[in-house]
Amino acid sequence: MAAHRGGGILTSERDDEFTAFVAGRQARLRRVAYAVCGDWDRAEDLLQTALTKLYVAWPRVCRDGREDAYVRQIIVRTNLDEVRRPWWRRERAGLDGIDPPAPAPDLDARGDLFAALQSLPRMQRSVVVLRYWLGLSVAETAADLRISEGTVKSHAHRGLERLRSEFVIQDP
Amino acid sequence: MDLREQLEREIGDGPPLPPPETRLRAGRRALRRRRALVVVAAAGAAALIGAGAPLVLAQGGPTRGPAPVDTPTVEREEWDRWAENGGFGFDLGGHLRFSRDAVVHERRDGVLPGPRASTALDLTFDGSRTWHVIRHGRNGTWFDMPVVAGHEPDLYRDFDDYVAKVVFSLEQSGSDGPGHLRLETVGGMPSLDGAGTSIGPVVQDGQRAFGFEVESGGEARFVLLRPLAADEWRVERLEAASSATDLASWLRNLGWLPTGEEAS
Repeated sequence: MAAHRGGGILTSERDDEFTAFVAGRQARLRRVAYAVCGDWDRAEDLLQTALTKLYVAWPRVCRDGREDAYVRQIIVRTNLDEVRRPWWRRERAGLDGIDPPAPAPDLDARGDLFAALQSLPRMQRSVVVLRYWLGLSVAETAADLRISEGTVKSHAHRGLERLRSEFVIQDP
Repeated sequence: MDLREQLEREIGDGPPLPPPETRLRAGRRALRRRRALVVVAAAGAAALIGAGAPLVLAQGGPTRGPAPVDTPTVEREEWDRWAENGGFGFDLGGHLRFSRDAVVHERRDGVLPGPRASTALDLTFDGSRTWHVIRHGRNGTWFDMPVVAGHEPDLYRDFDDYVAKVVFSLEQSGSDGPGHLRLETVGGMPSLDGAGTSIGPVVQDGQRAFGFEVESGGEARFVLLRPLAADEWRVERLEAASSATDLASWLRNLGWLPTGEEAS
């Protein structure tokens, strides 16, 4: 990695690469955060947390070429950790009983489907967002959320069923 | 309705984004803090080694061992990853790794059946003492059923009780968390895998429960299940079955069967 001092400010390849990544991806990644948490301020916090961690881990993450996935994982995991901690963290089996429903959504400036999405329990909502909006595979979704593939399928099925009870949705 | 297209339309773009330079500044501050912490932690580890104090675990190995010393950049970054994950985690090879700040009080390997690595942990990290049963998964993921140590003493009497209940729960098809099961009810009784003799409902202080003698992990056990909701059950008590007593006597000893309800 090239690093040099100029005008008293340390610049580096890390900074240039990170800045380029943020410029190109932050809008999309904040939308992902918004989709899982349902609040733009909270989405901004989630994204800032994720990007800060990305900068610290940049050499390793960039070397593996998984910057996008790294940020996305931190966003969805941090959002889930808020309700899990201190009792629950990472994957567990059969989450329905302990995945509390989200608060009633603020319907202002939101579509009906998005509001229905926000009414799902957080884990179901995260699975639906990753699987059916972002198009991740079951394995990728399981890895992002640190749950088993079977649990992903279960949450995806239940989440989709809930949405289908209110909307006519094509098979994803 | 196409779910993806509809969500794409409804999610929108939100308020204006801060410039990338703002993100960069926050990242730089975090990196400076991290580097400062690494230096402090290395000095602290050296002091602990000198004093012979209780130590932090390195990768795998015994339950107590030398604290990690400061290492080249790559390894420090790996440790950072464990810190982000709550102090520990499995690496891709299935080796258990710990943050240098994690203090392990007890570790038991191979607590779950099957070929994948599994471990029960009693550790303190970031000021919080927690119990874990973890199993290595695929793609660097792992399964964990953590609880705060001692937070629910009526449910987990101690670390041994927590581990036993988690392992038992995982052996059941309806596992719903440590010590919790989601079970169908057949004829008024919860349907428990491996159950032999069962008694119930039994009552104590107005609470209903069901007792079972179960074959679990190659051993006979007595289990007391209490309903939480329609199909949710809590493993109230779990003990190795003694040849000197039977299920009804066990329940009487616990005060759940004062009147000698029928056994089936």
